[in-house]
Amino acid sequence: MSTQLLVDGVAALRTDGAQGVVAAIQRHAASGPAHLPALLRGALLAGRPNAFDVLRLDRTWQRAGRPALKPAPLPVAAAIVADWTSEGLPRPLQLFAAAMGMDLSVSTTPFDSVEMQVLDPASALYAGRPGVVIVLLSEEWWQRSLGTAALVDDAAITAAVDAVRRILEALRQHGDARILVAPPWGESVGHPGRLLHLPGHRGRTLARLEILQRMQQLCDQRTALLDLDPIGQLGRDRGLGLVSRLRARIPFEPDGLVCLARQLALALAALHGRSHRAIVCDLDNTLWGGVAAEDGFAQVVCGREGGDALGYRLVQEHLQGLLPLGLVLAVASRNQPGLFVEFDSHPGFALRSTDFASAQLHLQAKSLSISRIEQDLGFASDLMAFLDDSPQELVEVLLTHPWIDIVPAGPTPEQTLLRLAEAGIGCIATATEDDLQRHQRLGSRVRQLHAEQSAADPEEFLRSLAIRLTFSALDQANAARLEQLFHKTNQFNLTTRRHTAAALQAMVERGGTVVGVHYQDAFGSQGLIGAYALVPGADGEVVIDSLLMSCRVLNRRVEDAMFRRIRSQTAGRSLVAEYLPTAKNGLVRELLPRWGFVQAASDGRWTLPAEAMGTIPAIHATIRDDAVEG
Amino acid sequence: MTPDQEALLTELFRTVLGDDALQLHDRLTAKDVPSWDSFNHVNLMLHIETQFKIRFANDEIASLRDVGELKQLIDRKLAG
Repeated sequence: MSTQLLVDGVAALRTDGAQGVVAAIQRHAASGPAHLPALLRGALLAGRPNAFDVLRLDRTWQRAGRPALKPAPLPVAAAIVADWTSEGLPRPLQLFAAAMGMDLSVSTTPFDSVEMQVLDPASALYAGRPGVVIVLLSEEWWQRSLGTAALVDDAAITAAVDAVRRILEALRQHGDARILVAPPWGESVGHPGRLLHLPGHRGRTLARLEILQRMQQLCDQRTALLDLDPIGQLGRDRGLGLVSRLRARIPFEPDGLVCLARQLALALAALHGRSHRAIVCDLDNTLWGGVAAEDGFAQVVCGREGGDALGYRLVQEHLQGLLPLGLVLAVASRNQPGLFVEFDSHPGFALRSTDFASAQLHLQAKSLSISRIEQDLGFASDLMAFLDDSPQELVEVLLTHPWIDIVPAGPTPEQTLLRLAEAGIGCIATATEDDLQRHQRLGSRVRQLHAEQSAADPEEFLRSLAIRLTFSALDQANAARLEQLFHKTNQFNLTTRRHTAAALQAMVERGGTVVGVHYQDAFGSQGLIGAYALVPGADGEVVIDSLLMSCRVLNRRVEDAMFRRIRSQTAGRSLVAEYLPTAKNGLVRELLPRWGFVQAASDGRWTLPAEAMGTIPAIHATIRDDAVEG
Repeated sequence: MTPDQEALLTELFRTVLGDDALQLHDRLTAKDVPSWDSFNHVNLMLHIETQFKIRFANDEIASLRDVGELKQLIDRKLAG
């Protein structure tokens, strides 16, 4: 029965969007909750839901007891600081956040009291100790500085930016939350002359762009701008409207508020490492029109000539355009592997075969393809989206990989494109250089993995990789990436402490050590992939506060190299460590005993005595040590 | 109102006010439903307007006394 719900729900998602999914759930009310998370996520992500759809989806979720929509949801506490009536925002925001793998608690500030809450360190805003503060300033707030005339003078722009700066500075000073701030999102009723630029004055669109640029300069590792352009794309009747503004001092019509909730959830997901990292794509009738095996590859429809051909070309361009944001593309197609050899020969394609980090072309089930792609890329399918025109394939995959997010393709390429665009896959709030190179790194990792699988002797394979590790101490250049590692590494992580860059710096200032590890081998660089933090303990002990490593360099003995360095730097002193188990870090359960640590019965901590150097296997790597320790 | 329109209106009330057991009748007012506060009232009117593809004037909303009058207003708007 519940499988029938999944079948009907996925089919309805493709033909009728979120509304269809709601109807399917109602028809199968007796089915039980088994596939509800997948369908709710599908409807929210790819169903182009309007405000009423979201209300109904939320009711469905509430009635089912608010089940987790992704595995091991991350608790996140957010505070919304807004000068308008924002009480309608938390419910849809919590639902979208749940779909992105976060258990979000939300507080809101009283109406039109932004400065009072932000500037007072004893306010309820700080007492709640939110992890993220979301600053949403209405048209009226900006008008205090900018006025309401068609032309804005430059002094007014400076005054507006200064007012925002004071808010951000107070938030940074009085709390340690991360900050998401929206630039001015446009006007519900515009004036002409928007693009005029006269001496000392400019039109309102140019003024807004100037403010946006200056606000970008106010951002730092803790502060990011919110992209709310999608609300403007809804148009006045649905997005930035007058009706809600006049009736209830809400700047957005219901669909606009839902769009805001989605954009906020995507930004929060990006901050907390819950964004999609990969899109797995079908080929036939998804990336091109037609079936290559039947029509012949040269006849598949994709190109600049208009109609469906242009539609498929735009789908390819959209996917390719996501690569600079650090998203990875993979293929899961029931086609002969030889098809990929021809891929680059099609004159109408935007995508190249090298744009895909993993390509699974065979005649077996696509769920098997997803499993192989998980192995290739080194992360689980709950961080992937799956784009396919076949409801049967989408259901087959979901039955084995229930946490993957489905995006139905077709029946037309423009429907595929609109679903992809509105889903916001690839949304990032900030990015490190490491993120931007992810698809290249993963491509080289996959080639490395395939080479390993064909190697006869593991030791010889490791030697052949010509691994080079570089240890470097925490500094300005690597702080952002180190913070990201601490926040996003779940599996190979002894203690899962989510230290910010500021906290790591404070640790160093109190006599601790924070070191990052950069990895490179014959297949290319994987960037900064590991870190550890040591703090002084009692009686001359050294405590391993954190030790973590990206799974993309598993089975390379990088963790052993880190431990060897730790031991050589702490020789003659006892080492103390902890293993704090979570749902995701079972991988490191045996790490400390493997290294020779012994667990004390009394407090569960692990100790390596001062005279012991520990046990590590042969490390086949060239080490460069740039870390300078005091 | 047609039966389908009645059913839609009932669903709107139940979904916006979060009460799956709510039964609409002409004498029903906000005082009868705990979750029918001023904020949800705004939402209710907005969703009714969107789903029925009509638009109320602000004074029309302010003058409504019960669900019966709301239904009559919707009928007038649908009739053009």
